[in-house]
Order: sequence, then C-alpha cells, then structure tokens
Amino acid sequence: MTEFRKPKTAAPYAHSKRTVSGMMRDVLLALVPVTLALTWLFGSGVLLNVIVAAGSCVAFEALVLRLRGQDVEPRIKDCSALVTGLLLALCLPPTVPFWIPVIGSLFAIVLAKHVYGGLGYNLFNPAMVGFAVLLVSFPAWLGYWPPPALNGLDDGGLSFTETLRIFATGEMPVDAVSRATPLDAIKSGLGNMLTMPELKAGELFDGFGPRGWVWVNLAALCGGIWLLVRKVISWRIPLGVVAGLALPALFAMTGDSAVNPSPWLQLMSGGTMLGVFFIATDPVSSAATPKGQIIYGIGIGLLTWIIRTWGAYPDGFAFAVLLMNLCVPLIDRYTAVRIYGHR
Amino acid sequence: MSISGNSADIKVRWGISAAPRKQLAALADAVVAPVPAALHISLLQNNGSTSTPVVQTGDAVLKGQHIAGLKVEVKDELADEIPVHASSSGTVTAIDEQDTAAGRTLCITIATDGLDRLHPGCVPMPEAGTLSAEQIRSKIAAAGIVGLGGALFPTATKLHAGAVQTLLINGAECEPYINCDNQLMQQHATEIVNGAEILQRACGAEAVIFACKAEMKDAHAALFSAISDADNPSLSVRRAPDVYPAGGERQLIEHITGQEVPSGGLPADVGIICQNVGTAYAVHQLFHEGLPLISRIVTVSGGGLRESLNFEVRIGTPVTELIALCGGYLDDRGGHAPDRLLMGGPMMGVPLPHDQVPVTPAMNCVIAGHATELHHATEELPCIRCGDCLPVCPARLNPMQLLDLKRRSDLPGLEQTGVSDCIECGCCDYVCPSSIALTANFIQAKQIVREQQLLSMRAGRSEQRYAAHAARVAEREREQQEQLQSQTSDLDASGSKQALDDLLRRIGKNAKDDGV
Repeated sequence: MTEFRKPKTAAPYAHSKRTVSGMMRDVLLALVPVTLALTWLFGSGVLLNVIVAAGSCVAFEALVLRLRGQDVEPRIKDCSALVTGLLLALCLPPTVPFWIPVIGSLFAIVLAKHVYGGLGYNLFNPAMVGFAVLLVSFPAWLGYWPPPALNGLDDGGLSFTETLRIFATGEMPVDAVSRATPLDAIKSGLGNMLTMPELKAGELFDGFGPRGWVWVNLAALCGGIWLLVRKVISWRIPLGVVAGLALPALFAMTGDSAVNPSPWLQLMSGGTMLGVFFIATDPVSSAATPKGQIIYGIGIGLLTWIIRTWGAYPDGFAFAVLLMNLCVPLIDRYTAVRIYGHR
Repeated sequence: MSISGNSADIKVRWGISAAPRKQLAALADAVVAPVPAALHISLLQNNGSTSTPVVQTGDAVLKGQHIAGLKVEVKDELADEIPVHASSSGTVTAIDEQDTAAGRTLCITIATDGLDRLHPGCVPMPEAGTLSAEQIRSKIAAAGIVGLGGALFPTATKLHAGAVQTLLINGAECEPYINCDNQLMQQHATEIVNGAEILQRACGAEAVIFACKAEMKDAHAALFSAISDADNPSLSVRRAPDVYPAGGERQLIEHITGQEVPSGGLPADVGIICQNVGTAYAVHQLFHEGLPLISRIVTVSGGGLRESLNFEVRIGTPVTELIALCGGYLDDRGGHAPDRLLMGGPMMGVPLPHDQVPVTPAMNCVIAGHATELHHATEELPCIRCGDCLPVCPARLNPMQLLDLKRRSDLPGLEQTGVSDCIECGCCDYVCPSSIALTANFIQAKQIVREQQLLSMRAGRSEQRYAAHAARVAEREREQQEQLQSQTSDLDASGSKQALDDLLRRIGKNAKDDGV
C-alpha cells in the first residue's frame, strides 16, 4: 500500500500559472519603449525621476508593510509598487527636483494604497493620486517641460550636469527655456483667439502631429498592444477610452475645426496612450465586469476630452481616471451579468 | 493554455480550455481488469445514507447477487435504499468501516473464489420494449443503477420527473485526463444508444440527444453510425464545445437546448433529463445481459505512472490493482515518483489517502500525479480585482465579489449574488493570478447559506407557531373582555366596586396561567 499525504488545499489541483508578479513584470517590460522614447526626447531627467520614484515607492511600500505587521518580501516581489513608481515617474516633467517624485510616491503608496488596505483594496489608482497631488501642489514644477530634443526646435535641452543640478537643488538655470507642451499651446492659443490651423503651423507641431509627443504616444501604444497580446489587460478599457476621447473630438472637429483639435491630436498628445493602456487598465481601481469596463473606459475618455476642452488643466487624464475610479463600485454593481438560471 | 474557449469551432464565453496534460490515446478496447483477490464494496450512497447489508460474514455470494439495500422507514414512509450487488462470486469476509474516496464508510469485503459465478437471478430481459415506463424504472432501481457521471443520483428517481421533452445523454466529459466516457462511446456506441432508448421509454422523452465534445471525433462518428442503425427518428447527436466544464449538466443543457435550468431547480423543470453515457450503458447491460450495476470504466492516468490506461473494472476492486496493471508507479529518478493520488480530474478531484481504496460507481478516473503535476503554484496573494474570474465562470457569477462577501460573512449578500448557483468547477481558481482558493471558499459559503436557510425556515415555523398562539390568547382575552363588560354593566347597576376589582384580578391570573 502506498500512502499519500493529505494536500493542504482542496481542488482544483491545476493552475494557469498566471501570477500577479508575472503580470506586473509584463507591465514593467511594456513600459520600456515609452521610457526610452521620453528619455530620448526629454533627456536624462526622465531616468532620474524613474529611479527616485520607483525606489521611493518600493521603500514606502516596505516601510508601511512593516508598520502594518505584514510580510514584506512577498508583497515587494509582486512588483506592484515598482509599477506605481514607474508610472508616476513617466508622468513627471524631467526637470523637477528629487523631492517631487518622493512626495508623489508618498501619497501614492501610503495614502492612496495602504490607507485603503494595500494591494487590491485601493479605490483610486495610486500613481494618479500621487500625480494629482503634485499637479495641484506644485503647478510651477509640473507645468515646466523642456522642448523635445528634435531638430528645428530652439535648443532648450539641458546638459546632464544641469539636469542633475536641478534635480538635486531645485534651482533652474537662468537661461532655461520654458516651453509649452502641445496641449498647453492649444489651451492658451485657443484662449488667445488663435485657430487650430494657425496653432498647427507652429513649431510645436509637424505634419505628423504634436512634435515629439507622437513618438512618446506611439511607444506607449506598442507596449500596450503587447500587453493586449499577452492578455495582461483586456481590450475593453483601452477601446472605451479611445472611443470616449476620439468620438467627441471628431464630432467637435466636424462642427468647428477652427477651435477643436482633431482626434489624432487628442490621442497623440500628452500622456494619452500611457493612460489608455497603463493607467486606465489598472485592475485594482478599474471596473471588472465586461460591460462595466467599456463604460468605465468611455467615461475616462469623455472626461479627459471635457477637461481638455473646457477645464483649467491642459491635460485632464489623471483627474478623469480618479473621477471614474469613484464610479467603479456603482458601475460594477449595475453592469453585473445575469446569473445562470436567474430570471 | 489559453483562457476561454476558442480552440474549437464551437465558441462559448465561459470555461477554460485547460489541457495541462495530453489526453491519453483511446485504445481499441478498455482493458478488462481481472477479478481481484478481495473486493471492498462501499455501501455509502449519494445522499450520505448507507445501504443496509443483507448478507453476513461467512455467507457465500454470487456475481450480481443483492448484498445490501432494504426497504426502510424514512419520515413515516417506506422507501427503498439503493441496492448494492456483489461484483464477483466468493465469501463475505468482513462488513466494516474502511477507507474509501469518500472517507471511512461501511464496506462489504468479499474474498473472491476466482470462478466469477453468476447469480441465477441475473437473466437478460429482452422484453424491455414491451414493459411500461414504471416497470422499467423499477427494474433500474432494483439493479442499483445510479448516475455514473459522478453524482451517483439514483437513475430511476431521476427518470420519474413528470413531463419530459428531452433526454440528454451526456458524453461531454471535460476534465483533463479523464477519458472513460470517450472510450465507452467509441467501444460501445450501439449499446449506449440501446440503453438510451430504454431510458427514453422509462421517462417518456420525445427526443434523445447524445452530446459529446467536438474534439471527440471518433466517439461522435461511432454514436452517429449507431443512431443511423437504430431506426429511431427521435435520436440525434450534438457536439459540445471543447472547454471545461462543457460536460456540466447545466452548461450542457444551456449549450444544446438554449434553455437554462432555473436557480435552485432541476433540469426536469424545463422538461429535460440528463443521463451520463455510462448510465445508459449500465441500463443496456441490465436488460441485455441481466447484470446490475457491478462494473464501470475507469481512466487511470498521471505523470507518476508508467502507463495510462482505461479499465473496465468491477466495483470494489482496490485501486492498487489498476496501478499494478499500469506497470506501477515511476520511481524517484527524474522526479516522477507520484506524491498525490486523486479520484476524478484535477479540477474537481478528491485526494485519496492511499491506493487501497476501492473503485466505487463515482470513480471515473484515478490520477497519480508527480511533484509538479497536481499542485497550485504559489501562495495566496490579495485579490487585485483583475476580473479574470468573471468571464470563465459558467454560472456567470462574480467570484471576486463573492469572495469579498464571504470574507465579511455577509450571508444575505452571498445569497443575493448567487453563491448557491456556484457549480464548484474551479475555473476561477484556475485563472486567478493571486492563487486564491476561491472554490473552497464558495463551497464553505454554500454550506453556511444552506444551514442558515434551514435555520430561518425553522425560525419561520416557530414564528408562525408563536403568532398562532398569540392570536389564540388575544381571542380569549377579547372574549373575557366582552364577558367582563357585560358583567361590569351588571355591576354598575349594583354599584359594587369591590366585585369589579376581584373580577379583574381573576382575569389577570388566568392570562398568566395561559403563559402570556
């Protein structure tokens, strides 16, 4: 007679081998192209942000886990704090002092994540909470973007030592060129009675769209498509966001193309694609039912378009995401699928 | 190993196309396992009761002889226990509790004589075509035939279900590894069709639909040709999707007929009866060979075995005999020594304590898995609300919401969100990236909800009793009040206050005696 030890768990005794840390690692890998594109266009400050934000997110995570008396190692290994840090860093301009990403990480990990109960329990997207806090607290630092390092633009680019100096001390070099992002330019330009064709003739745009930012968005798109192929994210939320942003933009443009940016400009500006594939799709803070995911996505797209069109902020993605995070319990409740056998 | 079923030409929204291990090749015939030295026949039935032995230690028994199951009194009514039969001839050497897949249960041990002598009562009944539905059902009941898909529900009881339009013969076995029904359909399609026709007579179904999975091409062909030969226009074969759990009763009914079994109801509520192909075959064997339920086909498989085979086995045969026929376990070289033995498939299987447990009618498969084969990968993490468990759920439940409610012990919430509709298939566990033991939680929650319902039913009854009592007391008080009033008017006339107080005190005492 051969005896067998009683298993610790009940059936099933099979698993898809899909793990949280595997999904998070896929997300990290998918963020590589957009990180490289941002670094290429905006300089080494991007990498400094990445290092500090990722490092402080992980450090805060470990600290809070220890304070909460939880096992630190497995929770760090799930890589979720690393993803939060990276996403936060990629939203920041490359010319901020180091304490900006640190403060952002503090609010992201401690307030948005652990105050609500840690991984899986947070109502809001942690990276977006961190970013929104910075956006409203440090508008000067957050509003400053150097021009992308592309031929034909004024060389506002900073050397590595200058970048490092800003990063360490927060002192801007006197000759630094403040440059509006394309979305800023649209917002202020339209406010100054300029028309879209006039704006698009400016140096911030080229035939392909917002100069430089197109590449950032396309890089994010590539990573996002890879996540779709790997089935880390579902297509429903990205499609919803794109539809919610592009369709109103299309209608508005058809109505009056002089004051309304095209869907293409909307999709290729700012952090749109990063948001579509990496922020809106955060599983914890997004809707989970199939229909709910589409509604949630459309809501984010629509709110982004509304904020960009009438709001005070040139890019409203972070606020759109946070507002829709609020609606998730309601959406999931009212989009629940009819259970088998229930009429 | 991809999520959701898109591997075949039939698409459904739920389930998993899990193929952690290649199905073993169907053989020309299942290996007929020889008569073992001793048979251990479990008397435990599907409803938790145990059939009463009708033989004693030392008795000689013959193959097919009735050895357990009486008429017993259940709730003031006489009911038949499920009869159990000897699966070979020999001597009863023990009637005691033994380890089985369902824990320790009462078993009859028969030391076989190797002659396999048939009981004279076991005679074919070729007149099945002339019997009434009720006569067929009573013969099926007397043969101890139960659902061989795993639930072991008494077949005759299931057949007695009122107006039935469709008899669904389920051959869509869907768990990885398990191959016994596929084997049976390829080997005995004609016999299955014949048994199904008898079942059709017994329940009065207008149509009989045979269902196998799309990937079971040979089984499908065999059934199709058997139906063509049967000359019965009400028979047809349909294919189920190649996903797990396509063979789940409710899932198969939905896929084949488009109907849903109401929550808390039975297939019969929508005019459908579902029977396993193995059950249909057992019915054929009863009428054409005179054999009660004494054998079944068992898949013996797994990475810890030298060979994987299908066996036609006598009920009561120790699993170890089948393991030996598979060439035994692999040794530790290469890490293939088995460390887990399961009855059933990896999704819903039951771990076995050792390989001496006997084959029961529920045992469709035995898997001896090696160290990396039948294990959950990692330790449990928090739910990240990824929602992967939603689309795979064949009952269309929201497992992450149910888990949350379970952890908060929210019974009304659990009931409302359909925990009782969970079919315990394990798909949500399979896809969960946090490796949460969802199904185990839901099984527990179902149990708690069921107990709570029973309690509240009882509470409801005692509430009714109390209300009735209170009404009776109130009625009596009213009568007394009326009486009092008529008397006080008399008293008013006489003007005696003392008499009134006396009367009031008396009424108060009466009310106390009534227990109010």
